[in-house]
This record gives sequence, C-alpha cells and structure tokens, in this order.
Amino acid sequence: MSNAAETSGAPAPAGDRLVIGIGRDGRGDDAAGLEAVRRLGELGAVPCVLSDGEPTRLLELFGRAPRVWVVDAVRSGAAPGTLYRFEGTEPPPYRAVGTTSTHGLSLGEAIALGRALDRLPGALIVHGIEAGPVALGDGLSLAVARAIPRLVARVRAEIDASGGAAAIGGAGPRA
Amino acid sequence: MTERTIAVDYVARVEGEGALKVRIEDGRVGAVELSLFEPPRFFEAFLRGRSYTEAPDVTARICGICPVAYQMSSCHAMERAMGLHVDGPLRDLRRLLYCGEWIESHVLHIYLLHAPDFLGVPDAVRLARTHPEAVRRGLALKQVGNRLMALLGGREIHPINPRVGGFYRCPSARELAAFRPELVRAVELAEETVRFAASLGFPPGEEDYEFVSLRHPTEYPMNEGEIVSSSGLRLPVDEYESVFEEVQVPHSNALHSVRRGAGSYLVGPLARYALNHDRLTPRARRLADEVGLEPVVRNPARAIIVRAVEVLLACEEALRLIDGYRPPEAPFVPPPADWKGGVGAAITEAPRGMLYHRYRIGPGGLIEEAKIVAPTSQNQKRIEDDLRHLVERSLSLDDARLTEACERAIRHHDPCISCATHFLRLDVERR
Repeated sequence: MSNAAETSGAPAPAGDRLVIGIGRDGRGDDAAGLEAVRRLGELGAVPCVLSDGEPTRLLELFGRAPRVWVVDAVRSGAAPGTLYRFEGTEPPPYRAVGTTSTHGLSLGEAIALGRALDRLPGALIVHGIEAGPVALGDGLSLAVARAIPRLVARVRAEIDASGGAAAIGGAGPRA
Repeated sequence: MTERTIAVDYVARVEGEGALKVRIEDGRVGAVELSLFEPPRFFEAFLRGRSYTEAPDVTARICGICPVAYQMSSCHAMERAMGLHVDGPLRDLRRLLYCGEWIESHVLHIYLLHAPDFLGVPDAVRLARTHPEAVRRGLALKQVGNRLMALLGGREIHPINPRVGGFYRCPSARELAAFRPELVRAVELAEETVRFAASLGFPPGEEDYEFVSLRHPTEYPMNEGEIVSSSGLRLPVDEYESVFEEVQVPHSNALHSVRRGAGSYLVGPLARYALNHDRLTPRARRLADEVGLEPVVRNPARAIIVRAVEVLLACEEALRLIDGYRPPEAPFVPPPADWKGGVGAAITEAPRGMLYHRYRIGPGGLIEEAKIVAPTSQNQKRIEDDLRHLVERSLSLDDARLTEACERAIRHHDPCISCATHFLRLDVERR
C-alpha cells in the first residue's frame, strides 16, 4: 500500500520537504515518476504526492514546502531508463513526457510560470527518467522498470543527506 | 498553378495533439482536414467485459482535464439502464462537483491558454511577466475549483469518489460550509474575470453555427436536460443517435459527428450560452449585459467571455448548493435488486460541451457494449468549417501569419484533443 497521496486540496503537509511524482498511469512509461514516488512514499518520513503535472496544481504544490523534489518521465532521445538530475532554477533541458495531459503545458512551463510569479520553492530538484513507449493501456517498459530502483535510491539518498534526523529511515520527528 | 505548403508540427496550448491540413489551390481553399487519434475508441473496447461499476473510474482516465464529465455521463447512463433516479442532496453534490470541474477547466483555458492570443504574448509564461495580476487571479480562482474537486472527488486528478447511484462518501455539512468564504471570494474573482475577458480586443468573424446543447426546465444545464438546437431541434437524450451520427473520414482516425442530413454543429460554451441565456443566474446575466455580451455569440474568439460568464455561474451555483446542503441519509442509491441489465444512454455538459455515453449491460452486470462521443469529436467538423472560412478571408496573409491564425481559430474552441487524439500537426498546402 502506497503512502504517496494523490494531489489533494488538503492543507500543506507539516514538513519542510515534499516529493512530487508526475505522470499518468496506464500510459506506458509516462507512469515512471508516479511509480518511483509511490515507492518513496512507502519508505515514509517525507510527504509524497502524485500529480498529473498540470501546471497550476504543481504551482500550488510548490508552495507547500521550501524544499521540493520532482520525479517525472522525460524524453531526450537517450536510452530508456537513463536518469537525469536537474536544479529547478531553469526549465529542464528535455521535454517532459506528460505534456499531452496538460494542453501542452508541462513541468518546464510550470517552473517558468513559478519563476515569473515568484512562486518557486527555495530548493527545487527535478529527477528525470528517460521514457520508452507511452502507449495508452500499457504498463512500464522493462528498461524503465529496471531503472526505477536506482532512481528511488538516488532520490532517497539526496533527501537523506538534506534532512538530518528527518531523513528517510531516520527515527526523529520531522524538522 | 501556384502551390504553397506550410507545415507546423505542433499546435501549442491545445489539450493533446492532432494534425490539420489546409490545401489552397489557385487562390481557392480546397481540403481542410483535421485528423485525430481517438482514445475513446480504445476505452470503448477496454470496457467490454468489465463490471458496470468500473465505467466511471475507467472513463475518467480518458481526460485529465474533464474526468468528472466522463464519470457523470457514465453514472447517469448506468442509472438510466437501471431505471434509477438520483435526486436530492446526491444530485446537488454531483452538480457541485461539476461546478468544480467547470471552474478548473474554463479558468485554465481563459488565463493560461486563450488570453495570450489577445494580449500579444506567445504563452502563459510570458503573460505571467506582462500581466502577473491577471495570472495570479486565474491561479487563485482555479485553486477553488481544484479544492472542490479534491473534496468531492476524493482527489483532484481522476476523482475516485463518484459511483453509480451517488458517491462512496458524502461530505459533512461542516466540510462544505468551510468552503463558503473561498467561494464568496471566487465569485468576486469570477466577476473580475468576466470584465478582464470582455476588455480584450477580438478579431472580427461571425460564424453561422448550429448550436446544440442540453436544456433543463429550470437551471443552466450540467447533468440533465433534453437536447435542443438553434434550428429548433428538441429531443430526449436517448434519441441522440437517431439524429446525430459518427462518420468515418479518410484523413482522421477519429470519427466525425454530424447531424444526419445536415452537417456540422457546435457544442460547448457558445452553444450552451446561446440556448440557455435565460437560465443564467441573475448576477451572471446582469454582468454579461453590462460588458456588452450579446445573448447569442457567434464570434468564436469571444468564447473567452462566455467561459468567464460560465465560471461566474459555476461559482454562484457552488455557493448556493453549499448553503442549501443537508447530507443525504445514504451516500448512494443501490441498483434495484432484480436488475438484469439493459441499455442506458446519458448526456452531460462537459466544460467543452455535450458528452454522450451509452452502455449495454448484460445480466451479470458486465458491459457488453460501450459508446462514447466526446465534445471535441462533435466539434471537429465544425472547427474545420471555421478554419475554411478563416482561410478564405485570410488568403493574403503569409504562411507564418496564416498558420498562427489557424492555431488561434482552433484554440477558440478549447478542443480537448486528448479525448480524441494525440498529435496535432498543421500543414497548409498552397497550389
């Protein structure tokens, strides 16, 4: 059972960090970000939410914590399963896969919009995973499914390093 | 013979992607072809053999922007097959949920997708730099819709709370009352949105639409009503397929909806407004009058004002429904114990227009046949007609400006092409 909540209108979680998984289930590798963040959610400690990537909802989520990690499937032409890390001070240099769900507005536009309106969190880190097929009705491709544990470990290590006692697996209360 | 070809691989600010080809031969407009893929076809097949209870959740996945519409049309269709009538607070909650979706969807289109076309900026990001107050207003208003969706739908994306017969869980009166201050503010923001939309400069160009929408005896239509049209058509929703048909066209994977023997028609805000102007709330009608919005709007660019008026109506309706809410005794009405399946059809008003669902359910409650006609499928041919007229009026424009004008003409109708397609490419071919 996953602890990652779907995007909700609930008040901001009590914590200084938030992990957002973006994607769509049932659309092949477009679900990679969701799957990775579901697994991070199972590890507990840091609030995790799932989103379809719609920019106005993302902007709302960006306002919920000063440090935000985003995990999303991307497309750059590299081999499926390739991992990326990107500081969210600039739009990602690749295209988010889920743009079909949001009138052509993607994570890149959400970040740019957040910057223009001064609504970005103090720290925004984007973790991307290169998607393979995104056909309707499909699950994750083998290459992406195999890369997800690496992606989860990478994000988890980063969150651990950022939070002292509040780290994933840490025993203390959240900061 | 002179020939020119313009190719654009992607039309921005349109849900999903598709392809449009315009051919101009010796100064005359030839073929205008909008071609789309069509996920509803996939879902129609995917639903066969599944339980009737799964249809609301499965069809909600067709569109990230208007999942409630799919849930509502599927629930109503199943209930019609059962002879079940859902009324009282459950009906009110459905309308309240639909208000949330209208607010979300319309505000997204008004501020982030459509307004840039009238303010000389290429996209929402640039608009946020030149008109930050407007974009902030849009985000604040949309957030109210998001929160309504989250409360009633269980979550903002792909709501899971609606079910055949009602809801899995109904909110308490206190939960809804807590929304009141936000909605009072939302009504004000919606009024500012109407004034903002009406202040934009619009290109000329009226179209002779056949408008088609639902019409309800007492209210602006969302979940219920009979089908009416501007040419005098009036029929119950279960006779939809006797008057409207889907036809195959060689250039598109999507079926085109036409009125049998008559051709294209338009569904959506322009149609709803024209056919239900007398059902607007007094405040919405007064403001529409005040900003000079005529009771029938035939210039598609001005649909942005109509959407804003509908947002105001949705905010007012949400407030009214919350104020009058008394929790139902049970969260849903169960199907009749002796129900052995049957056929049911329903239409509800998605933000983009009528969404038709029909199901045939077998004795075990399994779906034997599903038919889904999305608003964008119904508007495709009409959008082609708009484009034809636009190109005829604009032959003197160079390729880049003509392409831009075509993209704008498509965006006027806010086509939710992910309901009907995946890629939108634009080719203008001149010979």
